[in-house]
Amino acid sequence: MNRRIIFVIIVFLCACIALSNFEKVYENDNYTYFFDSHSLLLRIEQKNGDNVWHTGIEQDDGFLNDEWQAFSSSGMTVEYMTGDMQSKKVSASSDTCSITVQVKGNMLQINAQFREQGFSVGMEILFNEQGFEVTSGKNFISESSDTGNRIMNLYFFPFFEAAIKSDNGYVFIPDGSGSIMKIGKSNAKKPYIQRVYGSDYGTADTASLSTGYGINPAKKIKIPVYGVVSQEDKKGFMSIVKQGDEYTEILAYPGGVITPYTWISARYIVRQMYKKFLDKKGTAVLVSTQEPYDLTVKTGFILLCSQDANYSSMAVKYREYLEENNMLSEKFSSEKALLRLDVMAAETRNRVIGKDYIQMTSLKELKEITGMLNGLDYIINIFGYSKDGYSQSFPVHLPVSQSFAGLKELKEFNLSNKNVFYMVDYTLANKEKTGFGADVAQNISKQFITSWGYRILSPEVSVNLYKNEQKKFEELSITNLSFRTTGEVLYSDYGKRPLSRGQAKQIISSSFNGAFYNPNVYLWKSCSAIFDIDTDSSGYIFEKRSVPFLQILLSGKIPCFSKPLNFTSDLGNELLKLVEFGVYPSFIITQESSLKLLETPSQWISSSEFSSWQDTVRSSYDFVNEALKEVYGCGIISHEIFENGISKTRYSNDVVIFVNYGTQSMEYGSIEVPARGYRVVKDGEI
Amino acid sequence: MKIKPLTLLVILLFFAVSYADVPYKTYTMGPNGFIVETRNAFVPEKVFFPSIMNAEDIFVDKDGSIYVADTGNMRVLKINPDMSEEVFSDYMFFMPTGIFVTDELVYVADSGNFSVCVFNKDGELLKELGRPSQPLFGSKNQFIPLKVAVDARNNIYIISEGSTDGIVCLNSDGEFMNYLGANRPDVSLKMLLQRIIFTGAKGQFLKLRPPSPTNIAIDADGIIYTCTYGLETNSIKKFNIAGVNIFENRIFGDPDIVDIGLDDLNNVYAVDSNGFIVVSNSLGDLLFIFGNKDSLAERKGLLTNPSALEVAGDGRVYVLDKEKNSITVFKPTDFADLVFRADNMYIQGLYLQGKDEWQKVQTLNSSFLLSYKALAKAYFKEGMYGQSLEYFRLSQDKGEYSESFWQIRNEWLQKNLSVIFIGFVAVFILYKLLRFIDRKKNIFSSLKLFFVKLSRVKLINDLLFLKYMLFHPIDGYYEIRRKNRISLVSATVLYIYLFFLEIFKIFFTGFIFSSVSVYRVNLFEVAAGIYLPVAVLLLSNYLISEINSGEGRLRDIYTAGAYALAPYIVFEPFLIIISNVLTYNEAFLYTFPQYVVIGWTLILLFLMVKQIHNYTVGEAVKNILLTLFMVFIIIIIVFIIFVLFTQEAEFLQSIFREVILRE
Repeated sequence: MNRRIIFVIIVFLCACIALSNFEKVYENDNYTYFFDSHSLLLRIEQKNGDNVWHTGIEQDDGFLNDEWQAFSSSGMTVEYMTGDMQSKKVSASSDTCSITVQVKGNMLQINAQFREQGFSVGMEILFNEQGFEVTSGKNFISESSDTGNRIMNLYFFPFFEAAIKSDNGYVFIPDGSGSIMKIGKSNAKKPYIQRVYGSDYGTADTASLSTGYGINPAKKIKIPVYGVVSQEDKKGFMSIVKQGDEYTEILAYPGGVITPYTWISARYIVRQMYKKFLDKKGTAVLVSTQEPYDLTVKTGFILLCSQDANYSSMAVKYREYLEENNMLSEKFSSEKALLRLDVMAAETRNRVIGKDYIQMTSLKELKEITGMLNGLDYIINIFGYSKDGYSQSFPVHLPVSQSFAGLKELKEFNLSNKNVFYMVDYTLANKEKTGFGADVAQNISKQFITSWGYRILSPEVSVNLYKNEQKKFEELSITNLSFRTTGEVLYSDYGKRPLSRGQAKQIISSSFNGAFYNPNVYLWKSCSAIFDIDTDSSGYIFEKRSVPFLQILLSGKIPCFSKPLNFTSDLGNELLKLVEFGVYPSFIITQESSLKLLETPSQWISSSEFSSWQDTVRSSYDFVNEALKEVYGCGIISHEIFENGISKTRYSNDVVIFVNYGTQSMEYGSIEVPARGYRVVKDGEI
Repeated sequence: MKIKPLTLLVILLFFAVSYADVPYKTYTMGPNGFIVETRNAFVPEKVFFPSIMNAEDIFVDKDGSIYVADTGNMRVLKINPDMSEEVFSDYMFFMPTGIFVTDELVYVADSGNFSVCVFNKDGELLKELGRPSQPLFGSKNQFIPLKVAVDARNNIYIISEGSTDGIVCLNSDGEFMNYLGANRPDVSLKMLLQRIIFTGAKGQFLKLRPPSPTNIAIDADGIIYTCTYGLETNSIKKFNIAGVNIFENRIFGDPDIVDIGLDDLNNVYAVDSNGFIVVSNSLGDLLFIFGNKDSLAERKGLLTNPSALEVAGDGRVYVLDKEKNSITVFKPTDFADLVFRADNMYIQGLYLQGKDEWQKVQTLNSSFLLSYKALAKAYFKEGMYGQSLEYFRLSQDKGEYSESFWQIRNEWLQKNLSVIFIGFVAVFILYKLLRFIDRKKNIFSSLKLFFVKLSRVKLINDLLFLKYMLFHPIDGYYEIRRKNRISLVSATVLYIYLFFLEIFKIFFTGFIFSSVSVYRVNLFEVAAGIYLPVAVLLLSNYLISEINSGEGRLRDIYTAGAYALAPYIVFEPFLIIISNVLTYNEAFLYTFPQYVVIGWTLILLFLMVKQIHNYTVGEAVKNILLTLFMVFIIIIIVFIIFVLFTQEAEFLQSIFREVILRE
């Protein structure tokens, strides 16, 4: 393997070339790599095993039309827009493409020249011990202006391990907490297409940000990872988008949607389509951005064999990757916290003249409440402490309302309680808050970005607002802040302070520090706790079930707290899920009855009075704590769900937690798991 | 009520809640008539895809078998509880659109064959019921059975396409008995105008035809429920034995309704073409709205084009989607079970027995309207009138509120009557005493002098003129017109006062007589609501009288206009105060004076036109009619100008954008 072989293959167009032609290009201790320089597909054989990985459909089995046939059997496909605004796809295996390949040690340098279309796209494949890595992007693209064609999207190995059927194979989709889709025919008619980290408000039409009344929005992608398990505990692969994640979409097609294959792929956005508005009525044309994004694609494909071929090993591998790259480190403190109490201080209601200040909990009352929760390890997250109460305070939170607490009292409280967080939101501005008109982010059509009556601030403004308030918080001895919204959204700004999505990600991830609400992966390094973490997927009909992928990644690293459980319709079930996923419960607590919040923006808090929740809080805590205290600060190393509905979560300290959601007690080996209950077992006992 | 107001209530924020991991939100009726979000009542348990096509109806029998009228495949499919599928009968259906299953028999409405077929459970055809031959059925009426329902005595109820007479009722032998539950024709102003204007064939076309019902359900007692697509109100009807709709103006309506179903407690479930499922109790009170349309993504629990809904014996709701060819099963949550239990007590009138359950509901959702209604009744029964008063107020139940208030007032009066009486006597004696002393010693002379001086201040003096206006309007107007009795300032003060009076009215009218929610008051709107009409009326009157030899100057119209409102200005505050101590029993004490005040004011207004412009009665009437016509014209002109300006602005804007786009 140490000899440097350099040879050049130039394959000119030839109509009769149709058969795939795989040649061995590289081998290492684990794998032998074969490459077809016509279709750019790889075939990888395992050295000490019988697994073979296919990165596309190698034989034409007559299921697909020409375009999809080329797409599925090529290592590279380019989606482009013609001068007269037609969207087209061209793949490397097409006749009009001439390919140059150079082999340099463990690297393949490929350039695909699409002569008819007038552009070329290059890519590099780097072989490594785990699999291989693909690099491409803006610097690998050259476009001639003669044809008027513009490259829109890139795909690399879209049909990697695509299959029509499989016994127990599945596709891992990073939807919410993570979900798996069975390989095989599905009843679904629509595919899964989602942008990593959610849609980019900067190129979305603002009206679309406030639609879907009555619908709980679909979960967003928090991590740029996907994978396929062709056969459980035998063969699979996972893909980590290491660079270019902010310009990536993940596509998952269930079997039966367009093709009989079940497949998943990343789509890298070079240029974005958007609606350009022509008048106030909303007449719009669909156009693409002129300049390509500053896109660098770097995606690792990790091959999984034998016991690694399942979603929990994917998660463990990704966790290792995050650790190696300093994107995740241990934040569990010595002070245990297995419960989060969201305490609402106050809210305001608009009156005919002025506002009513509605006190929900004062600091004095909060102290009484904590007095009654003796013996519990928890954190407190206070919101609505500003003088405008909760909903109308953002994005300026100080000064703290005098009715909530006096200055001296507040300082003393903060000094003596290290487990207290104060909620802030520097991304949304209430529309009634004046003085922020110029700070609102604008989309590419120069519309101000708003959503459900909230204005969305420019990321730079968010950072400045935070910096301004940080000192004032410190003066009050407040050190822990919890950031709502900021961590869950990522958008470009085309207004006065233009920022690309990549730049926004950069400044957001380097500026904020504290607890976040359901943050994207790039914030985990500066995140001390995660609130409102997704514990479910969006519930698409092709999804077989949701899996605790996020939770496996974060276990033993960052403590995760659930959404407030006040409003769940089946608390028992929800608590079991928390035990299974290793997530700590949360509750919203107020001293006063939530009826006081009627006709305020916080009307959704329909049940929060401490006196009626006290017992539930304690019993829920006891229920979850009984299991999770055994594994506090430990990482999950595997997670499985069995046919009979029992789940098994194994932690790094060899404690295993079994959870049974059924109404009848179930047995796993010699271990009986009670109905709607769990069992905590030390490894030796199984 | 209809379902559309949902969209107006965007108080929810995009980050605020996602109650649990189902794709839709669940709503209920909250206090003060707001729709509020609540925890999930039904969660999608499973979605399955039997081999059906464009199916129109399903039925779930007692054993849990599902019968599907598989319209597109021209058959009836039976899905057994173990999910195995079998073709129910080898009978040649043409277009089966409705199905109903009793303990022994299966009824299929085949609209393509114009018949209802009766089978035994093994799929053998027993009877085929065609168009009834009885003359009562009507010689011209068609028989296209779409849906079918059967009561305990095997009477058959059929929805026939285009049947404006209502449901076709057959006895167990298939003989026509009568029609039931026809809808009323919906007469809109537009239609009336069209009928006046159009003649001949067009007029015939606009003949008033009530919509025929869309779907039917029947409860264990044989009570018939229908739903009708396209009705804004009363889209769901429940007919008692006499054929009277007992849901009239009670139930949450939904014009897009597709099907209704009933559970064992006779709660009514309605599904509409937008994928919303509305659950109401047997009295028509709204319990839950859940579900939504599957527009962007196929998520479990969202519907694309629902065609039928059925509630199984275990409370699960089955919804057929004819576009997705799927059946979605929704399972009630613990919360829904709790509400149903509590509601059942409430309906039976067991207010006290249901109190605990309702309190639990209230702990779980402090804005569940029905909990306030039910608890208020419980408190009322227990004699805790204060508590029940507050809860009736929250639930906007003015009748019951009035009852509680009567009790409280009664108690208070009984307790304090003697004190009040003594108070009255004491005040009377004091008054007499002071007068007596005053007469002897003249102790109040300085005070009297002060009042005299005060009344000489021009403004005060002008305002006191109101009293004179009340009883001597003709002389009053003479003084205003000829002697400039009233300054512009005083009239302006009165106009400003009108605004504050309106505010006072909104906030301080007793709950029983108030019709405005204080939460929804917008000062700007209140002001506009007063001053725009006043300004337009005064201006119109001035313009009209200018060309009609009216003698009034604009100044006179302005000042006299204010003084014409004297009865309202003087007496309304007292009425507002009185409204706070009255109940419905003495409502006339509020409403009658209200009419008197309004009538009085109108007379004063009429006299104003007559006197200020020095008209005869006939001229005054003519002037008033012309003024109203002028108002109409002004409104139209303003509207046209507004439309033109917006179009102009849009035009300029699009040119601007286009220039920018071209770059």
